[in-house]
Amino acid sequence: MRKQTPSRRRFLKLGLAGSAALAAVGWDRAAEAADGEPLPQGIDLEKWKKLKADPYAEGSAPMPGVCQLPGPLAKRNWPDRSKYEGAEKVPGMCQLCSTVCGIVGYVKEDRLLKIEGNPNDPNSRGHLCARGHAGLNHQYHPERLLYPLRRVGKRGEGKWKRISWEEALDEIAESLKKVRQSGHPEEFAFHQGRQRSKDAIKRFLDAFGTSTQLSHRSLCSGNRRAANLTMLWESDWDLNDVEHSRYILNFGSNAFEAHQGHVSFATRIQNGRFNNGAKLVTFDVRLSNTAGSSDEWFAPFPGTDGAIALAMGQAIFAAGLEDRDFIDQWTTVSADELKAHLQVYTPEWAEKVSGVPAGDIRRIALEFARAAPACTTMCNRGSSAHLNGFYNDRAIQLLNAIVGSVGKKGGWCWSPWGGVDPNMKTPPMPPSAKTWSVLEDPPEYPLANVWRRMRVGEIIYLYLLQDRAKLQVYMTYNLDSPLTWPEESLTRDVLTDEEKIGLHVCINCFYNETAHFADIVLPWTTYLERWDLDARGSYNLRPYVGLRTPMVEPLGEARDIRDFFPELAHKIGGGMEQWYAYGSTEDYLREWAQNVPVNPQTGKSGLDRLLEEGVWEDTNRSPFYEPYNIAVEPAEMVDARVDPQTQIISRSGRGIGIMTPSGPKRGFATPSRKLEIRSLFVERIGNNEDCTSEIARAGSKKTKNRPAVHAGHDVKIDPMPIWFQLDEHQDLAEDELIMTSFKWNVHNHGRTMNLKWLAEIVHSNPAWLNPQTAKRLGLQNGDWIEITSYQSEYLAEQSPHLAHRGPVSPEGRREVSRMRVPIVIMEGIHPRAIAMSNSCGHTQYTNVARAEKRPSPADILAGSDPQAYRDADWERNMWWEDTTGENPLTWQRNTGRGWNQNRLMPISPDPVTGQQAYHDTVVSIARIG
Amino acid sequence: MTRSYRLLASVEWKYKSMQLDLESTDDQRTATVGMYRLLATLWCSEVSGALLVELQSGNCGATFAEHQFFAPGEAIYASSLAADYCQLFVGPRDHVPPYQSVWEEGQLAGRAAASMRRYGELLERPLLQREIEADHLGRQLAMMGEIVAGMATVHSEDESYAAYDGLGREFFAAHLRWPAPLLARAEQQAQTQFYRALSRCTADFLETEAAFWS
Repeated sequence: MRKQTPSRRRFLKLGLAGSAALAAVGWDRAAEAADGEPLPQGIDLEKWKKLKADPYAEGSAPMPGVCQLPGPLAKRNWPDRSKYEGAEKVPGMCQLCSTVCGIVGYVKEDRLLKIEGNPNDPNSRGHLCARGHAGLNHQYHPERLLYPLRRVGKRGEGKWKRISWEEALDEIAESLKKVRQSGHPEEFAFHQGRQRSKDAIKRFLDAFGTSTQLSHRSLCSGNRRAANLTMLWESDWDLNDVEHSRYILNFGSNAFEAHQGHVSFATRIQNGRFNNGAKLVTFDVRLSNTAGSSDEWFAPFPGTDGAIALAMGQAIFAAGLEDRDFIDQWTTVSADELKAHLQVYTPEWAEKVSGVPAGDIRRIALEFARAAPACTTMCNRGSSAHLNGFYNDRAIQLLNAIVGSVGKKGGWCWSPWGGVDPNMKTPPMPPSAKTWSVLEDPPEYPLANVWRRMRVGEIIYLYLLQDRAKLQVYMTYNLDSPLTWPEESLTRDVLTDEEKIGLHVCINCFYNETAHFADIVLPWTTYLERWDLDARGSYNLRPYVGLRTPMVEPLGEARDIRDFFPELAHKIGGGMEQWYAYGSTEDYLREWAQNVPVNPQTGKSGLDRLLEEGVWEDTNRSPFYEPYNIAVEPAEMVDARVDPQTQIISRSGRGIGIMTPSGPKRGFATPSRKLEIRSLFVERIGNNEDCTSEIARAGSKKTKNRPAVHAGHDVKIDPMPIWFQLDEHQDLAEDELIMTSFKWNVHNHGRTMNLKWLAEIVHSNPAWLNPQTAKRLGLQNGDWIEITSYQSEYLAEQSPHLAHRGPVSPEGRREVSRMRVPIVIMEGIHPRAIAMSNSCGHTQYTNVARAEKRPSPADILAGSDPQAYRDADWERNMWWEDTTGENPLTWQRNTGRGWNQNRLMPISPDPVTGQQAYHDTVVSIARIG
Repeated sequence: MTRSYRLLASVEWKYKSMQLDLESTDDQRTATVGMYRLLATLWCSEVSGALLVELQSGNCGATFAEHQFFAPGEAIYASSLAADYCQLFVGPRDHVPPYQSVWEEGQLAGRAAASMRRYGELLERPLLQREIEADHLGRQLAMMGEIVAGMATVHSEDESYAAYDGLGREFFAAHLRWPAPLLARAEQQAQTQFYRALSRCTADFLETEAAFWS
């Protein structure tokens, strides 16, 4: 019999009262069968008797499927050799950085046990970095968003209530209908962070009728892409064939830790070095892990990569090591013209601006040239995220043309297939929306959207602040702009302003800094719970396709856009719904993947093959080496016309090749059908001139003239690779430095600091200072400094529309912000530079990212049995919480959540391309205390 | 009509007509089922406006006021309770996740969830309407309610009674002994009297139940 306790009667009364109330409002009636059929009775005792064999033993050996957390007792269950017995291996694709490596998930009893690299992936070849392994933290993080939320306080106040998907989608649809009815569909903006569901987003936006799709491309790689496009047109992404190289010249790229190619690229660099004897030389203001692993490392003055590259070109010509045949045959300048152009850029001149000894510049240049054609440059944000970054990258790429390694095995290559194999065809897409918004295509930046839409992301919030645009509905997706966008305070101000941004819908897996300023938050599936076809530019130089598939069921009520966009489209109506008639998401993927051929060994094709293998690569296709030398097929020459002056072959008014002494060749996909060292196109497009004939000669269907709305915004663009230095960098005061940023190998910019395995490794970002600098300023390791950042004087002159606020110093400099940080002193940084990593400083994004250990009362231990559950580790093991409140006097090294560098960074777009110049900001520093 | 629903219908009638005999074992079981269902409902979702009206009405209101869910006659709003529920149990930040796995393993969907899914297979209809993680406290309370409801329909001499008793002991030990720290933190963090009372009542009720099921 039950034991009666005094309080029991009270609960019985409460239970009765509550039950009566529940019954009165119809409790449980919804659970009854609609057609009146009797539902099964409650507990199935017979089933229980069969299951009785201990489904869950409290405190006993761990159940398979649970990742044991680190901690003093972790070893008791390791190694657990039976852990993966019977686990299903499900292929997928990682999305914790931009490289999208193929992965395999081990799934048992609906739980993901482990993630490892998929050896079938032709790009990553089974390798997976630390971020990828930490996907388990991402999937099962206790603070994941599981339900739709509606703001109930003021925007940014942090007060929410849970709502149903039905309520959320109804409200969003109502607002989007109003946008359409207003006649300004461009006032619905979709703002994405990292996204790998390009087709799903494009389908929704085109079906709706807006082309205001905002991105972070200009914060990342705009200059590198523009420089590539200027020379090549058909690809914005060079795929350096490092695995077959004998010499790799790296300008500021940190491929061993970051980079879009990261694992695929880094492993090939090492293969080239170990299998091929390739030498790796790195120029980087900071001793990155890539620089540290190189054969030689030089720390040039910030932003002088282009000067070094031009000087190397000059030295190669001076030594007579240039490839005259390639230059004369395949570029838009003759070897003699180029030699004359480079004459002024001597190694001695480059030494003066960069600090790298002329002798080293000359020596390395000649080593590079002697390795040709199996030699290549590589670069990325280190050289391109500058106000002269477009020219830096043009100069670096020029080196490959000078030595004739362009398109060669082991050389500087590219491919026209940047994504999913083009043989994969989605179900019919809606026609592209034809709207224009200053946010998506600002007229001040001529190369931002000419070849393809790179946009100028960093101006979005400024232009909204200036009332150059407004948004009725703003949908953010996997975006953390207050952390990743320059001028954090401006971003926050604009996101808070309901006059400038109407309804803000945030789609994310976690409550981040962007979600904090939303009106509705929609819980997004993780990349381990959703569908995509995906691929990256392949270092095998041929296309492939990989499958992202739900490894486990979404937790809570998380949904992917592929799942709820169709529902939203139906609610909006007005024709949108017609583009969602393809059935389920799996049906959609099945149609998309239907051209994956049969695997003769398994008999499977299409989606079924991908579900088994994860990836398919067309190995019958040759790598994209020397595409310019491919002969034009005789059939294509029928009705073709050869221009007697330029030798350009065209058909139906579009360029298809160029006549050479050895016959008709494909050439480059440019207006000249040659590699455009001299680009008259960029000069003309900068001046808003009509380039219709150039575009036709290139045979390009994507490239566009600048629209009429750009009139009056001419920008001078030099047609040749040149280099200049900002005046403000030439006369730095004693206390002034140039700030640079970087990523660690365990983080991306804004989306990994919530993962405890990674946060434990890197969670803070003190500023790096050179010992010379520290000595000059009287600083010691661990001291705190106040950093004051300034807007660029160069930009104030070139782009006066950017000036907006901030106090002006006595010297006339406009201040951006101030921030206090500790310093770490090391040789691995140029004496005139100051470096901070850029993943830290979260104010939201879970207590892991904020490095906050919520103290538990002494009598409360996690779990019902303290002995059994002492491994629940966060509160106990998070040793790096800063309990001093960032007090410089008591702060302990390597504690805390770090600092958001974007508090200091000004909005700083390169006037040519719009690339955010993250590595040019002049700051002054002062010791605290 | 399900067993527990039939039981509740009888409870409603008995309660309204004041014919419930709390000394009777049957009625005690019935009331216990009611308590589990009440707590499960309040844990799984926000209080609707209609339910709030009922909870504050007549005898029911007096009983709830006695348990300090609100003061007699106090005007409280479903919207305020929804915001408090959200900050306590949904998030988005600094909340108290009501999932057993989180408290035991520091992550969602751990061993407890897998175990709950297996217990869930004993039921041939969904426990709840909303997509709630298997090891959510509300779901566990609802499951226990189903077990007690099953027990209430058989005689103590019946073979099935022993089976229910065994199942109840096992289930309670596995899935209803863990929440003490959650409930203490929730009581501390609640911004409304209602959720302070809910946390306290749940803790006290589970304590009395633990004595029975041990």
